[in-house]
Amino acid sequence: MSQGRGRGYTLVEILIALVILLVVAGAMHRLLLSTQRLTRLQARQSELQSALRAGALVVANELRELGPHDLLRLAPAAVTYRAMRGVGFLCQTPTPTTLRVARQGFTGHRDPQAGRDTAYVLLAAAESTAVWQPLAVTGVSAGSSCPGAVRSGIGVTVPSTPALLGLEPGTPVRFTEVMELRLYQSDGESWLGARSVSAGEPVQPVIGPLAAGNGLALEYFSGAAIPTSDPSSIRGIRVTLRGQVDGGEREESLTTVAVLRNVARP
Amino acid sequence: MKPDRRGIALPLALFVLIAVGALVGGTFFLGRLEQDSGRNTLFAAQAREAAEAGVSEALAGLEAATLESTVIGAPPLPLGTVVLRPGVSAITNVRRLTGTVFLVRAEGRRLAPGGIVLASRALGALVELAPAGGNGEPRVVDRGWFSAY
Repeated sequence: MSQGRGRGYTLVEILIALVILLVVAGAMHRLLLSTQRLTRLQARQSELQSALRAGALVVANELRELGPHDLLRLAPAAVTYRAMRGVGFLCQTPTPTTLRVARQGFTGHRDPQAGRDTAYVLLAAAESTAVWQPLAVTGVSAGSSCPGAVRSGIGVTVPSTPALLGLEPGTPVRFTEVMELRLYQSDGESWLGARSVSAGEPVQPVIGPLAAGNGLALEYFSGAAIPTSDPSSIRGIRVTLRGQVDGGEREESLTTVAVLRNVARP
Repeated sequence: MKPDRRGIALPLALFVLIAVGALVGGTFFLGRLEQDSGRNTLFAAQAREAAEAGVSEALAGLEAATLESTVIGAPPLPLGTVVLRPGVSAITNVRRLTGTVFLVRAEGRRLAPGGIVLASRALGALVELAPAGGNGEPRVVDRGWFSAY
């Protein structure tokens, strides 16, 4: 038997080893915790950036389709507007109460909806330029048929309008809905909300939570990039969305400018 | 026989390295996703800008005689291609909808160097051939733009 075989560690050796182990384990624990916290923060920041980007896209896409005449109410953190919901073309001469729109060539996120949308029909005038005639949509038949090769269509019922009788197939029809976008509070948090004014719906969250107070900022500009509150001279809207992570530890903001496309349309 | 003095330093160091590596790797992955998402948004915006430029360019050069030469129900008449910069362009055309109303359409594209379409966006503009003005020429009137999906 060798001399050292039966010799154990002394109490001092074990205590020193334990202290070193505790110090090393503590340092590693702190390192892991801080790395984990950073990862979580990064993930939340990344989610916020994605949400802001999605929100900016939604808002800009909505506003870009408008003209100054589509802006109905303006505020620094809210806007009410006539949103474009679809464009189609008549596939046959309408009756005074029914428009038949070809499914082929119809472009929009959804079909027209009764009680929500307004149809604008381009009525030709003999001596001057045509006018967009607004007509409330009172009924929709999604499975309507069109004559000839077009076949599939959307039947739209409107209040009796004798002026529709002379319209040619191919006449364009726009469908719009009055919408409101605004910053609103829910459960103590701020959200970007949207609601259909024409359908009388309550506000629905789009993205959030955003920074309280200044989570949504809308600035209205004229053609010369001068701030204006006169709807008829507005040519662009600057949209800023702000959000916070971990109670304001980090803030993200995203600004986009929507230049109104339909300035010329009366 | 010598006592086992290997300890736990190596396993502990490996464990910590793997844990920290996984967390850092996750952060990089998230960053990469963000980068890809941002790039796709940029490509879509470039395609949309190209489509807008295409419609603007087409409307600016559109003459009443060109519109009058089109026939209802005929295939669209090409109006040309607008190139903003290499890889970003728009193809434009016009077709007759009624006797006096026309649809100008532009499809903007963002292409990769190999010609692969990275993003495309289409825009339409309704145009009316209005009765003659003071100079006796029919007028081309812009009646509204819309996104074509």
